Parts: sequence; structure tokens; C-alpha cells
Amino acid sequence: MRRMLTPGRLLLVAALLALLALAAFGPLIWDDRAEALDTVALQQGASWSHPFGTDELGRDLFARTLVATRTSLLLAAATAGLGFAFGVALGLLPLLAGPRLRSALATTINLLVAFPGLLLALLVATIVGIGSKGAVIALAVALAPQCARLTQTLAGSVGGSEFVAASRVVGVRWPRLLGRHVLPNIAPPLVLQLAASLSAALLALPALSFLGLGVQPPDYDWGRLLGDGLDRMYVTPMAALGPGIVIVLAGVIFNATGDMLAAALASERPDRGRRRRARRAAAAGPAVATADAGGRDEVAAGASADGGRAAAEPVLRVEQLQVALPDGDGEVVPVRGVSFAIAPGERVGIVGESGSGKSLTALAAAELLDAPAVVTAETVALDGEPVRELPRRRRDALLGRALALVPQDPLSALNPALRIGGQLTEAARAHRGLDREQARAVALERLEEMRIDRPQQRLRQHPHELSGGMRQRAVIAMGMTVEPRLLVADEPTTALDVAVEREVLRALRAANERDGTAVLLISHDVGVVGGFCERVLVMYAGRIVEELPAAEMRERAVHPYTRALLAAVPDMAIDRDRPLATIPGRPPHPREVGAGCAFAARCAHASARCAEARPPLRAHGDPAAGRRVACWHPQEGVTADTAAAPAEEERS
Amino acid sequence: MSTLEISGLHVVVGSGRDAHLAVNDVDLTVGPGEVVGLVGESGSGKSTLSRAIVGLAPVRSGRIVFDGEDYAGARGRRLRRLRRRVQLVFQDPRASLDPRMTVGETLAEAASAHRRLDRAGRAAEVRRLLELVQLDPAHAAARPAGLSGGQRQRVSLARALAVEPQVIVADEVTAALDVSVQGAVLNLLRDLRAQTGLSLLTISHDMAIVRYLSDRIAVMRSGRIVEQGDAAQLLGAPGHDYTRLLLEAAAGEAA
Repeated sequence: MRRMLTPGRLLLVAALLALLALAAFGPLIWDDRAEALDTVALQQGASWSHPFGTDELGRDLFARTLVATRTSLLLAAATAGLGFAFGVALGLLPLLAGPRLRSALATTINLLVAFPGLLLALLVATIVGIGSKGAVIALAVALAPQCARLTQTLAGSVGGSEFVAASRVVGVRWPRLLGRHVLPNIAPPLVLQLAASLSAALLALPALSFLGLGVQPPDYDWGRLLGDGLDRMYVTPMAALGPGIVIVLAGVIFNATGDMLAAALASERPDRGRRRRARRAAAAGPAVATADAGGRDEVAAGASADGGRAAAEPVLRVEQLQVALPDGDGEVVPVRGVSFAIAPGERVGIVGESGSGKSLTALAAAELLDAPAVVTAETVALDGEPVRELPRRRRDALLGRALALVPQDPLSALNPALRIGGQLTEAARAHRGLDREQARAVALERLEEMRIDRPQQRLRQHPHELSGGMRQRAVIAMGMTVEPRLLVADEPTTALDVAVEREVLRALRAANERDGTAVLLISHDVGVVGGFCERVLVMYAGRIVEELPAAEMRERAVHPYTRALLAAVPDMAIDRDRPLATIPGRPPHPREVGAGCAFAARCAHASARCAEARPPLRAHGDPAAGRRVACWHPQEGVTADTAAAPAEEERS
Repeated sequence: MSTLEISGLHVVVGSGRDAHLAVNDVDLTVGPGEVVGLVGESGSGKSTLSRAIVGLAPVRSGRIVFDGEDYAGARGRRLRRLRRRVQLVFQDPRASLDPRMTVGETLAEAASAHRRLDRAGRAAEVRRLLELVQLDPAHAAARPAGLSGGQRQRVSLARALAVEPQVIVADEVTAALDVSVQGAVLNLLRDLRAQTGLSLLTISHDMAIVRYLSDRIAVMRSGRIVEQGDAAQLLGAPGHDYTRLLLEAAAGEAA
């Protein structure tokens, strides 16, 4: 809450209070002066005794402006309140209506929005009658359509959300749904709209008064004063400028207050507040990542990681990779000193749960993380070249030529507005210097390789015309057109179903086997990684906890986490009469990772040592076998019996 | 306890040119205390079917019979009566819980949707529900953002239980969860069924999950049920190619 009280905001609150005080007490204090006739000082200009001058009866215009605050604000508030209420009600109606009525209502609102507001106001004013009541109702009607449209749009999106559907299913009735779920979730923009309506009313009421439709003498508001003053604009400018300035000031105060309220309402939602702070912290300049002590030990082991293939220069070698993200006023470190290498043509998998840092690791290694994220590393060598030390131009060229990325959502990699053909030939032309025809031939060849039928026709299609699995294969084909050394696939099959998942994995396999392109596959699915890769890196809480050949994972994993993870995946052989194996507790948030082993709190084999000292990632067994594990108590023996107790999961 | 009987159900989603038959002539029965597993790939219409059952998707034709009454296309009071008996647990608890409401508020709202409860009664009910789904009652004060995925899904389950339904439709309730907590939520479903005698229609793309929970299994593809039957029989001798493909995929990963 401290953040709420910035000097600017305090000033704003003070101004708002002053304005309200003026409305409340102004008439009591200055009414006599505002009504006092002075026949010797008619229609005077600005002076010390009359800052805004006097009117045709010699009344002090400054006092009159102050006194008019109450009437003006009341009228503006009534107008905005009425218009806003009417608009919100109208905007909520489509949500409650059936589909047919809904589209009729939407059309009505659209028509009203399109109709010129002031014309509508004039029409209503002449019907309702001249005077302040007429002006208020007329302007309210004119303001309502905007509010209705905004409400309709916002309520439509919240009304269609899963949590509203869930409440409906549970039996919550519409009035409560609107009051508790819809309105609170659309409140911030609506508050802004109310403030805008208030300012609009402040400005529009004078216009009506000017036309003689608003407040009638002897009553007066700012609009009336402004209108009267305008007649003498060239003689005594302050008579018009004075009320004008006050109107603008009040408008600014209301708008700014609306901004502040909307921001306060929005930050009440915890996750949104956190994101905003994160953004602010990022804007303030990234903090220098503090190197995580005790990560050194992994370097030596990392060098031997590529085991039998050590002879060849690895396509990717990463040492002490660390990723920091802003979090509140500080930062969190979701990737903490990760080292690994990928040999040419090798298929390596990184497996881990959400938040383990697996995707960040891959994206950071591929130089794909932008600002707020702060990436540090001792080495990131792609195809033997130190990526991070190259000048920008050479780095981009190296990345474009040697590396391709297959994201989880293929649509994020394809431009929906362009045909597949253009997108598939673009990279090859840019990075391999091929001409249009050559690039097209390469693209066709790649599509065929990915077993996409009718490739000629596909080139002419747009991304949305392809099925999900086909899109993902097209993205792989696109990546392969540059003949990269390494293909990084980040959860490439997560959104796909089993049959399609197979096609995509087969396509990746084809790329790997025909071209010798190494593949780094990131997945939460132990089964997918185990089946596709040769070597597996298991990540937990930002670190590699075990590295082993995929063939040995199922039976000979030694890290308790790997073993528990494997046991937790239900397969077709599990005993239906026994509870499923689970891992008690939950993965730690990067903020919660302490000095010891991050898995210790959930581990059945943890000792006092585990809580105090973090086990280094060290070679396990024969160093030539390329196995590494970070555990004080590696478990030998068959994996199956590691099922943890199902009882106390997540109670804490 | 009664049977939920769906017959000849057709559901059209979208309108105009985008309209397509997401659920095509589906017959499905969930007997009292029975666990029926519905398995199929994404886009096969499983979720649309589950939403249609509780009146969230419009039924083109067919019957949804519970307790002798046909609720297909029911609205207002009748729909509320159905939803008192048949509840849906949504796939993604992050989306299905109002981010602005505390766990306690969400549960109290559901508990008092069909019953009159005073303040103390609501608090007691919230406590009971949280304990039922094996969550610490202190979580009542938390907002969804402060909970883990598994905890959120428990809250979502507790909300469905709050109206004391006889049937729960669980739509991919572990799809948005991590493997390490998925088992706990599935165990919870299993325990609840044993404790309360609930009927369960559990929907998943994962054959292993469906096998673990279900007495009977139905396989859905492109809006149709291509095969259904006793779990052991169907798994032992699948009659449809698609079932075989799903079984193969579940048995061993291929690449």
C-alpha cells in the first residue's frame, strides 16, 4: 500500500478534496458577495478586487464562479451518474439475454453509438423540456451509448470466462453473478469511463447552457457564466477565461482521479499487481545477477558430459548458464548454473515440471530471451563459436544459420497473414543465399520429408488452413530449410493428441537422421523424452539434478526425484486397487530455493545434510558412461518401488 | 441414486459457416456409483459433451435423462434442478476460479447457491469442503493466485461437491497439472467416490488415467462414441482401430 501514496497522488487527493469542499461550502461563504449588486462597477475587466471582473449587474464573477461550483458539479455528477448507470445496465443486458435477443441488443447499442451524441441530447432536451433537469437527462442519454458499448464488450469477455461458467453450473443466479463476478472484474475500465463521463458532462453542460437549454436564470452554473462571458470575450476576456479554466481544472482532476482509482482496483488482483511491479522493476534497469555460489563444481563434470562423443566439437556447449527475472523489488533466479553439451547429431532431452527452468534454459541457450530476463553464462558455444561474445551482426547470422526453434504453439512461429510458401523460403534465402526457385525447391523437399501431403498446394495455403499437427510439422520443415546444426524443440507436442504427437516426433526424427541435425527436446512428458532422446537431463528448481542415457532412465535412474517422477506417471500396468504414486508437496518457487537440495523437502531419502548443503552435480559410476547426478543419497536398484506415500500432499 | 442416461445427443458448436456437429449421436450411461471413463483426442468433442450435459452448450437434439426427467435443452428452474444433481469440474482451475475471490468466498457461494445458510453455517461448510478435498482449512483466506495448480484443482473440486451432487463430470481435471501432483488429485477423486458413492464421468485423453479410474470406458472420436464397454473387456480386446491406437500409444512411446 505504500506505493499508493506518491507525492503526485497526494496532491491529486488534496485537489479533489478542495474541489469538493468548494462545492460544499462555497455557496455558504461567498453567496452574499456573488449576489451583491454594484451599480458603479458594471461589466468590469479583471482587477485585484474582481479577479474575473464583474457582470452586467456589477456582481463579482470570481465569487459567482466559486459559488457555481456546487451547481456545476452536482449537475455533472447527476448527468454522468445517470448516463453511466443507464449505459452499464444496457451493456449488461446482452449477457442475460438469449442468443437472438443478444444480437438485437448489440445492434441497438452499435446504432446508438453511431448516432451523434449532441444531436441526441438536443432532441431529448427539447422533448423533456428546457432547464437543468432537461439538460441532465438529455446529456445522460447522449453519454449512455459509450458506456453501454464498453460494458457490453468487457462483460462479454468476462461473462464467457470459465469461472463464470463454473459459478453458473454450481447454481449461482444472475444478479449475484453480475455483482460478484462480472462487475468486479470489469471495474477498472468502467471507473475510467465514469471519470471520462464526468469530464464530458462538465464540458457538455456549458454547451447546452450556451444554447439556452441548460440552467435558466436566476440560477447559474459554470456553463452559464462561460456563455455570458463569451459575449464580452474581446472586451473583458477573464469573464469567459475564468470559468473556462475552472471547468478544465475540474475535468483534469476527475480524469486523474479515475486513473488512480482504476489503477488501485486493478492492482487489488494479486497476480496482476505482481506483474506490474515486475514490469516496473524491469524498467528501472536490470539488477546484476548475483552469481550463485557453489555452482562451480558443475563445470568439470560438464566437460565430460558428452561422454563417448567427446571427440567431436559439440554443437552446443553451455556452462554455468543462469537466468534471472525481476520479481517484485528484487529478482528470482529460475535457472541456476546449468552446464551441458550436445554432440553433433545427438538427441538430448530436458525433462522437468512447470517452473523447473527447462524452457528458460533452452531459450537462454538459443539467445532467445529478451529484457526483463538477465542471462549470464561462462560459455555458450554454438557450433564452436562463443555466441554471447560475438558482435550483434555475426551473432544473428550464426544463430540464423546454425539453430532453429520449434515452439510449443506453431501459430506463434507462423505469420497468419502470409502464405506458408513465403514463410518457408524466407529463412533459406536470408541465411543460405538461395534464390527464390532454389528456396522453393528446398521448402518442398522439407515438406515431403515431414510427410506433409500435397506439399505444392500447402505452399499456397495460409497457416489456418493447416491442422495443428501439420502446422507443427511445417514449422519443423521451416526450421530445417536452413540446414541447422541444432533444432531446439520446446514442448513441440504438448497441445497435440497422441496420433499427431507421433507424426511430429517422427518428423523430428527424420530431420535428425537424414541431416544429422542435433535435437534438443524440452518436455514435461517423461515418456516422450524417454522414447525420443538418447540422453536425458532432468531439471528441478533451476538445476540439472540428473543426466543419464534415456535407455537407462526407466530402470536405473538414481536421483530420488527422477525415480519419483517416473513412478508418478500412470501407465497401463498400474494396480487399480492401490492409490497412485505421488510426490508429496510441490516444486519450490524460485524464491523459495534455499541453500540445501531443493528436492529435500519432498524426498523420502533426505537427511540433515540435504537440507544444509546442496549436492553438486557429479559423475556417477564410470565417467565414460556420461552419467551425472546431484544427490547425497543416490538410490540404486529397480525404480518401481520408489512410490512415495500419497497422504499429505500439499497440505502445508 | 439414479442413472444419468444420454441418448442420441447432438450438439452443434459455432454458428453460420463455422457451425459443426461437435457431438454426433452420442449414447452414454452413467449408472449409480459407477465410474465411466471417456477417452479421446483433443477436438473429439469430449469437452463439448461434458458442457452439454450441464447445459453450457446448446443441445440440438437427443435426451439427457436423470431421475426419469429429460433435461436436454432445460433452462431456468429445471436446469438448476439438474445442476444440483450433476456437476462439472473444469479442466483448468486457473481459468475456472474467480481471481478476485478467496477460496472461502468461492466455496461459500457454491454452498449457499441452493441452500439457506447463515454465516456460521457457511464457515462450517467451507471448512468441511476443504477437509473433504484434503486441503488445510486455513486456505479459505487464500486467493487462487496464491495456490499451486494441484491445490486450485482441489478447490475447484470442492466447489462442485458443495452442491452435493450425485454425478460429477470431471473434464480433463489433471491436464493442466504437473505429473507430481496429478496422482494426488486422481487419488482424491477415487477416495471421494469410495466415501460418498458418487457417480463419475471422467474425461481424459490419457488412456492410463481412464483405465485406472473407470469401471466402464467409452472411446470418442470426431464427435462419435466409436466403442464403449466394460473396462477390462475393452482394454483386453479393443474392437475399434482407434482404441487400439490409443492403447498402443499408452503402452509404449513410439518415435
